[in-house]
Amino acid sequence: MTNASEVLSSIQSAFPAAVSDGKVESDDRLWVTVDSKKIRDVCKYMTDKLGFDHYAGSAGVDWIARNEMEVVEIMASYGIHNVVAMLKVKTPRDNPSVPSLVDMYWNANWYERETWEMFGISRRGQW
Amino acid sequence: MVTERPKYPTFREREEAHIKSDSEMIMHLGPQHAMVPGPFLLDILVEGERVKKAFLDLGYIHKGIEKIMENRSWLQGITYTDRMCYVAALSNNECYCGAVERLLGLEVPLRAQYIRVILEELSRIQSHLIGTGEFLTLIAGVGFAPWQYMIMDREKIISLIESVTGARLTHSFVRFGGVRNDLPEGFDEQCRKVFPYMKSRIEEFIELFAQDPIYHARMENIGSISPETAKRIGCAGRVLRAAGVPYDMRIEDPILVYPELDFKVVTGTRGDSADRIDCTLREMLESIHIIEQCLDKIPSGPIKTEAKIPKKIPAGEAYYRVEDPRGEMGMYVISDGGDKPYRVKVRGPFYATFQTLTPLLEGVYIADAVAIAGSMDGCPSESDR
Repeated sequence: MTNASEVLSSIQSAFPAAVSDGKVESDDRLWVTVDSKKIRDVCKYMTDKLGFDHYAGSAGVDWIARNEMEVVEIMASYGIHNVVAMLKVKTPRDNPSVPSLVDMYWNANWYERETWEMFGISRRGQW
Repeated sequence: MVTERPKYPTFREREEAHIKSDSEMIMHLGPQHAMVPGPFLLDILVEGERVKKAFLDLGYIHKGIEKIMENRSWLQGITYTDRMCYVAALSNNECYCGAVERLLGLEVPLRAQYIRVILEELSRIQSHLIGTGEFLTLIAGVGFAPWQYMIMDREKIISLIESVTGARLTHSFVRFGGVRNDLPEGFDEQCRKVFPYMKSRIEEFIELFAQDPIYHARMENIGSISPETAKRIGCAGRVLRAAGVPYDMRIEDPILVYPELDFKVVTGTRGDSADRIDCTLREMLESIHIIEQCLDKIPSGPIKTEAKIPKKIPAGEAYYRVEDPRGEMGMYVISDGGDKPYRVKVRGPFYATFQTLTPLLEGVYIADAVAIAGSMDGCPSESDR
């Protein structure tokens, strides 16, 4: 059975330069900040190698004081394991933009539209 | 640089872009249509009676609940979660309170956990009854009589919930670290009186549908979805379980006392409309089974944590998942250490399932489009939030 710290160390060793601020809350929750340029590769790696076959959505967060926005991609699995990984992608507040995942996960479509509608975060590749 | 907002096509532009021959036309099934449980736009491009392509859009009852919650105190937020999906208020309460409890690191007393499970399962039963009943009016056949029966039976469940929470739909019952009220005197006996009746009724419904030829013709192998496709397009809840994937948050992400209870995850085999309804009905029997175990096992004790809940919640973030009657529901709650949430993001169950409607509709008859959309047990109120 995979647990959150194993997932985190696996991502960290595969993408040492792209991930930071890894935090394991419990056996089934982890939070990690991923470089926006590498988010697609990290997601692909997690789906192919670590059994994260369920893209469960994304959330936009507006950090006004830090002058940046965040898109949090929620990755889970259909029964392979119980870990939910929250991948944070940071983007500047003026002209926020994050790569789109819609060609990898069909259902990313509406979540990306939602972060665009609510936060104005453009998803490169969506339109 | 400002990113240009893509323009949403008007009805006419959509017609001009998609209609290729004289035999095709675009038909509205919404925002105002007898089949919809709330307003959403469904335009279907038809050739004769066949749907060639479906266009789905929502946002007609966007309430801005996530944003409102950022401007209310932590406790006030509970009342807003009720109103996202008013037939599943208790699981919405649970999802929000659970996330805040994670932030606070609170332990919920055992009795309170049992009370929550009992009420959430009761809530699941009443939600399934109204969802199925409403849907049955959309297809011909046995449709209308069971709708009346289900509403009458649902009343008994609602009365049970009301006897504890004091409200019929918007309960605001779950609290951080516990629940608001204890079970009233005689609740156990009332439940044990209602359950044998409910079980016999649900079995009667299953039998009633099994013997109706129109029901079979309208439901079987209509709107089928394979487990691979269902996973690829991100389904959860009953739509996925009907396709045979036993994916249930009560197992995947066990909360409260669920790990101590014995229950089956109900799955189907074909993933069609008939399976989705069958799963709904059998899930109600499982819920009754869960509640009966809870009534046997529930200990006495406090219903709220001893710890004092601070007005200001320590900074941090939490993601908490529950199995809503409509599927996987998650809430992502961020605190900056203030007396209000910094951000509450709801990963609604129906927003995810709703998206999968358009591929299911391609190639079916217009009349089936209604049956398929209905069998998903939609709640646009929740997907719009």
